[in-house]
Amino acid sequence: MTLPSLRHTLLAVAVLASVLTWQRPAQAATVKGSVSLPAELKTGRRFLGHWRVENTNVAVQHANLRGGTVVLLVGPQYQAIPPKNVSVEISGLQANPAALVISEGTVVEFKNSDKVAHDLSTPAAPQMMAPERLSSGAIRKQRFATAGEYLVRCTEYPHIVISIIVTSSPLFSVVEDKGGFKVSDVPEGHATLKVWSNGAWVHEQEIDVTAKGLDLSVKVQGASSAKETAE
Amino acid sequence: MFLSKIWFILVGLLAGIAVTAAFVAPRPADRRIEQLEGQRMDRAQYAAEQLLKNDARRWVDYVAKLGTDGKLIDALEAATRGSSELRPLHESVRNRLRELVPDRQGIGAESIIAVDGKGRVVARVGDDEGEFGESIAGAEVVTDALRGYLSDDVWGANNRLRRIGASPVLSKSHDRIVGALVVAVETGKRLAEMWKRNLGVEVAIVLRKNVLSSTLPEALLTQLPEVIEEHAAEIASHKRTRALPLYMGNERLLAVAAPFPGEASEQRAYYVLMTKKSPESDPWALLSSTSSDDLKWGKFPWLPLAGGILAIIAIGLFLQRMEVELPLKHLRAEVHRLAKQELLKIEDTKYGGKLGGIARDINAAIEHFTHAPLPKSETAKKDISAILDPKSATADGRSFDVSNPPVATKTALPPPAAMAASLFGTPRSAPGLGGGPPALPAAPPPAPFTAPSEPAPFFAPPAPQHPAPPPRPMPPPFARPAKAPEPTPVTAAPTINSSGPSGDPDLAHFSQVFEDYISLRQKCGESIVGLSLEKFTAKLQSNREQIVAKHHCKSAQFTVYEKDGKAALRAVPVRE
Repeated sequence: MTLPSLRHTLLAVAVLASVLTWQRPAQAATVKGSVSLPAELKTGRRFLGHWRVENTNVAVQHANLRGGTVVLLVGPQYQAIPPKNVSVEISGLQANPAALVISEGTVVEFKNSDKVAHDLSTPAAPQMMAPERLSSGAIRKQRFATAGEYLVRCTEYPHIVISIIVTSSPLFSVVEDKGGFKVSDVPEGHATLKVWSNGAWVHEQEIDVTAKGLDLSVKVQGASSAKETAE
Repeated sequence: MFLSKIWFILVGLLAGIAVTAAFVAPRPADRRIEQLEGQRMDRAQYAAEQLLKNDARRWVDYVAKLGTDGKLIDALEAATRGSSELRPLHESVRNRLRELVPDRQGIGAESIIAVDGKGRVVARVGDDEGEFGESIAGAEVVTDALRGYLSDDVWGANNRLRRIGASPVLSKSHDRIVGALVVAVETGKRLAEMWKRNLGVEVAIVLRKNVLSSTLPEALLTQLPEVIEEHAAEIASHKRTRALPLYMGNERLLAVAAPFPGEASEQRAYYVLMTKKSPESDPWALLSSTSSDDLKWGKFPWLPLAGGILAIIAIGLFLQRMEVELPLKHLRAEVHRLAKQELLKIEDTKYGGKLGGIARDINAAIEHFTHAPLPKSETAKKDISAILDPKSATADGRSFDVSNPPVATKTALPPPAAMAASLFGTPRSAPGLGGGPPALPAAPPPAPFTAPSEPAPFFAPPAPQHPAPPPRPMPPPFARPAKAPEPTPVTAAPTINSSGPSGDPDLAHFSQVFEDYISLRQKCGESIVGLSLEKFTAKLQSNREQIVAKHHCKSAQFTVYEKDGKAALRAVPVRE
């Protein structure tokens, strides 16, 4: 056997072997839909005073949820995304974005663009982010190495709350102001859809992702409606 | 004294119950007072909450009314459009606000902020008046105002607590929101003083474990934030605490803490209403707090109390008299009667307890006394038998002479005759017939006395001497009849000596008595040895003198008679 023919033979065997050993991956699909939050979660007001009355002339505008709602799919296999730096700006006494989904090891950069100082910390997990005064124009970098959910709060202005969900999964979507979300490249199969809003998991449901994908209408029950359902 | 003891025990128990009641009875009253004070604090907290709420609405309405000012609307609308430079608008709005609110501090507003439709600060009066242009759109109350809400909040930034009221500013056509007005109201000393005046309680305002202001000295409230933090869960669930006791030095307070609403609730901002707790009602505190009005006749049961006390005293005294004093008096009377020889012994069965014991002891002492040998000299003094006893006549010169030496002394000598201790008087006080302290030999024990009487037996027959001393004769009041043995016969005859005192008109009488006595003794078979007229006469003279001296009579007559088979003499005073 000549050398070229041997080379061709080996190539053909290799191709055949690769064809025989290749497993077809699960087909990726898209899960999209809309999230409907209960009234108490879309009031735009976390801390109420004694009075909150509408003016009698102009219709009250909808609250800007500022990206504080996140949909996360749990269960399907995924390829972990590497950590990358993320920035949060505090300006006008509000944080933007109000919710982050980051992978483990990500460094979050907090920038204070206000004229007033902010004391940022994670009160529920003080070991993660100790209280530290962030003066006007200053930047604080904080690495989140452990998976979990963290709430970064400002001591002086309690309404400033930044939700940080640490996970290596790419299967998440930040819900738009109108409630729409879209999660791409979701493997077929069973999954759990979880909704994060106003600093807590507010909804969880089982879904079966098909090759065609899913178009969901997720309706989050509020405390009052959940109570009615239970009854 | 049984009833007296029982009574004292009952009185002691009553006193113990009274003291226990005095200490215990105030406790329920204290609890009731504490409960009422707690309810009062509850009402005060409710009232404070209503005051806060009304005040919030008042400030919201205040800025809403301010927002209707045309110049402000124009300026804010221009700022929202961004059609002109912000600085002139800032000055215009600031000046306008100063005009609209000339007495800002007087009404309690710390600052008033005007923001445009984007949430930018156009102007402010009060704090940081020179600053403008920054956005505060993220503040929830501002966001709400820009969305169309009139609302309130409480902020706790920069270690200050401020109540916030915000209202949208509508365009003149009332079809859009061109901005908002925000008022920040003082929430500190002024508020506390106002609540103290209106609610009648002490007030403290706490922010993040710091007492921002108080109507009480803040140095006294160092423990207050810790106490509130301990009840944070209760506050979170019930929006208030129950009435908590606070100890500040000597002061005891009752405090109710409640959170401020809005963002401040997240910053652990509380208002605390306090009142001085009533002192614990121990008996001394109650007594010290009584007034003269409490002791007036109409309010205090003086009569029942005095009656009760007097009844207790009267019963105690009655029992004391019945069980102690009267028996003691009777016992004393009996002892006196005993001393007067009117009784033989005390009837100890009449007395109970220790008095009975005393009576029995007295009786036992008398019994012991009457059976014990008397002192020798005393015995000899009483022993009138020495007159007749030839054996005793040789003792000394004061004794009777014995004409015939007692031959029989070598034989069994007769004991001294029993006799009454004296003719008239107590046995121990009366001298013997011989007068003066006799020097008779005291070897033989005394014979029993004969019971005295008037006329009393003068002489008792001589009694034979026993080896052992016979029972001592009883004192006259309770003398026991002596039962002497038969006298030993003597051989010597009595000697009648006529050498007695001459000139005595009774000599013949004495002589006759002597003869009668001798003959009766012989008749009775008694010995007459050693008896002589001289000694007999001398003795009778001596006894006569004693009788005369004692009874103030003229003389005494002696008669001989037989008693119990023996010769005896009886003396009778002669008064005329």
